[in-house]
Amino acid sequence: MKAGERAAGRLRRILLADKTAMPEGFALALKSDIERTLSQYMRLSGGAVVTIDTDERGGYFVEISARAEGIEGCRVMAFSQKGER
Amino acid sequence: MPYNDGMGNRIVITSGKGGVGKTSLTAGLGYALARRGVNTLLIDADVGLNNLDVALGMENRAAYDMADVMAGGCRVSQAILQAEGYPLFFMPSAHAATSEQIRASDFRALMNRLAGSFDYILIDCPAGIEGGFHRAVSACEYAVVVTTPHISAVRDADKVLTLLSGYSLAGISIVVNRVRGDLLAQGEILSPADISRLLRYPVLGVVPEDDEIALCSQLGRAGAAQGGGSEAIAMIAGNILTGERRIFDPASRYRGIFGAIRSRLKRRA
Repeated sequence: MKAGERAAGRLRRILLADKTAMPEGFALALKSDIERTLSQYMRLSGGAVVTIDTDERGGYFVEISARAEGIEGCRVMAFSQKGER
Repeated sequence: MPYNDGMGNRIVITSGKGGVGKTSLTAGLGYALARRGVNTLLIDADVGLNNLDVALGMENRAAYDMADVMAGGCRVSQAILQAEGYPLFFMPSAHAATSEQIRASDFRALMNRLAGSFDYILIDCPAGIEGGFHRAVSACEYAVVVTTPHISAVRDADKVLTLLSGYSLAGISIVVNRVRGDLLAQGEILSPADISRLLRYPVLGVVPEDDEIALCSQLGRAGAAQGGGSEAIAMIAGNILTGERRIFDPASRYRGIFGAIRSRLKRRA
């Protein structure tokens, strides 16, 4: 890829970030809450990876990935019992 | 986007980032319009860091300036200088006043008074987006945002364009200045098409990097440049007058076999 194309891609990301600037600590707070919620259902090994990207219309793409060793059994059973009623 | 709705079309030349060539472009564009017989007035709206008088070689001729006119200390005609041999006129910035002392409403009123006497008024806007920017933009109908093909300059241009969208301007367009044709031909820098697409505004003109413009400006002879830069600015003047979109291509002389040789020699220089 030529330098001009790389520069155009970089500029696009910079312009989008400028237009949709998030408050400081927002991403960290979101990650923390997501990990807490996931941990209620799954036994996480390590933390979650949360990436937030912006699109040209000012919207956001949020991608979450995490690794889990197992399911938090009691919570799932409680959920299924609730569903049967 | 024609800028020829009648007399007194007021165009602000702005950028956000300093050093992209607003003042040189304002001076060159003034001469390009005047050469076509268009009655053109140049206004230096930069209070404090004004340099349009230097680019035009008129720094020693000013007896009165914008602030004197606004204060009633002189007639309007006493504060307007004419370039020799052309219908190109210039009103110097306020030398003794500070930016805060020149109110936007007074500046607007002055521009309204002057509009009836000239075909075009080009206003050289101060760099930045503070009070001086608002003062200049609020007195105009059209805006030309000058940028260079560098990420920081385009980023600042984007911020200026966002602000300009809040004014009721009849037209906004971009001039990409100081473009290295050899780098453009090789795809090594942002292209004017990329810049227009990312900023979402049309390109009014592209001006190549031209040492002659800088040298002539340094000597106070902005109208004397005759290279590719001058040709490009003449095209911009034509686009303003006719509404056409003739865009100078700085990369044209660096394409093909001979172009590649020129490009290599330029890199070695």
